[in-house]
Amino acid sequence: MKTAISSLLFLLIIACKGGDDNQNKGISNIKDLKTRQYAIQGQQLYLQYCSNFDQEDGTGLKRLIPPLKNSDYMLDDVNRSLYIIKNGLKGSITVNNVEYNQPMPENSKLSPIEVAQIATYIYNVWGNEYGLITPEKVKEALSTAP
Amino acid sequence: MLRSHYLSFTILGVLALNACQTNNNTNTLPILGNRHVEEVIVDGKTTTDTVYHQIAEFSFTNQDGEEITNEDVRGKVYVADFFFTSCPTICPIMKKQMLRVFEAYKDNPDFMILSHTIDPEYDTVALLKDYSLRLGIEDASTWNFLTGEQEKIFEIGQTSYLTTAMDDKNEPGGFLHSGAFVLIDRAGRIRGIYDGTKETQVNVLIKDLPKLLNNNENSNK
Repeated sequence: MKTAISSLLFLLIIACKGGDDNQNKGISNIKDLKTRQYAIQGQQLYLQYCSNFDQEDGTGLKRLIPPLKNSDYMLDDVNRSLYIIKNGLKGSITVNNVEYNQPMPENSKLSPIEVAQIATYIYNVWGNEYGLITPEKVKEALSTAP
Repeated sequence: MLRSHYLSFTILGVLALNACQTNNNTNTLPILGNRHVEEVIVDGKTTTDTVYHQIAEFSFTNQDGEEITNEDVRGKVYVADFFFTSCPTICPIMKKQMLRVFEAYKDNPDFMILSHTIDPEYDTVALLKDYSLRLGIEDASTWNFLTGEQEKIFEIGQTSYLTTAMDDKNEPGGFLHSGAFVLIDRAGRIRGIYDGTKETQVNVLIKDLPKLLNNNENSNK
């Protein structure tokens, strides 16, 4: 399953490399209706729970907070990202060849559908075109620590 | 009835005059905080002198382990704020905004930033050094990350900088603090309080700073 997703993502990344215009695309560019609905809800939740830390545009903060935008770490493993959205993260991680070590707070109150909406948002803006992330996928991801 | 109207107009007039006097020049920032008038004897004559709210004496340790006191900011214009490195809420935004202020005035030797941690137990000198380096602050010549006795930091936050900084177990991260950026002039007086979580407010701060930096008034007080 994981390798399937990885190779799919790899293909997506290749597919995305076509133009840099992708980076400025927002929710309005999402074609699939359900994905767009999730992303709209997800953006509100992102602004409420995540943007203080990850910043509104997903760029993070210098070498303290890693970016979500153009982040290899985020694209490498979707399930890991879903787990981190809910449970936070401690310890050192490497994103785009830069080491970061700032604990990310947990958002333990988020329900699976809320995590799915946030994830659908961040995986379909800033140049990402992953598509819909369902609550079922989130439940699966949360069941095992990465 | 007529008399009381007359009185109101007089009061209004006085207020308007006062307003004109203090705001006659938009290049001047107000002096904030409580003030009182003291009688002083100069050359045998009794005159009055206005005493303004001033930052109290302090002594904290910066990210390089150096002691920072009022002496280090004497005659300088500085911005003070309160944060903690593990803060999950507003601090990353505050730091992103403070970086803009830093970038704008880092080359001015009369400008400083004092960022006080309100969690000194966790935020040691070594951790503050790591945090500042990761923010891209190579040395403490302009931007000082200060730690010290927690009680003293809370106290100076509340009573000198007129901001909120305290323990609160109900808050995420365990502390309650405001996102204020407090602008201090060369004489240790508060000249502006800005919301450090709002880009527009920080734009105002960046515009206000030259009003103090280009002015040498009170630098020897």
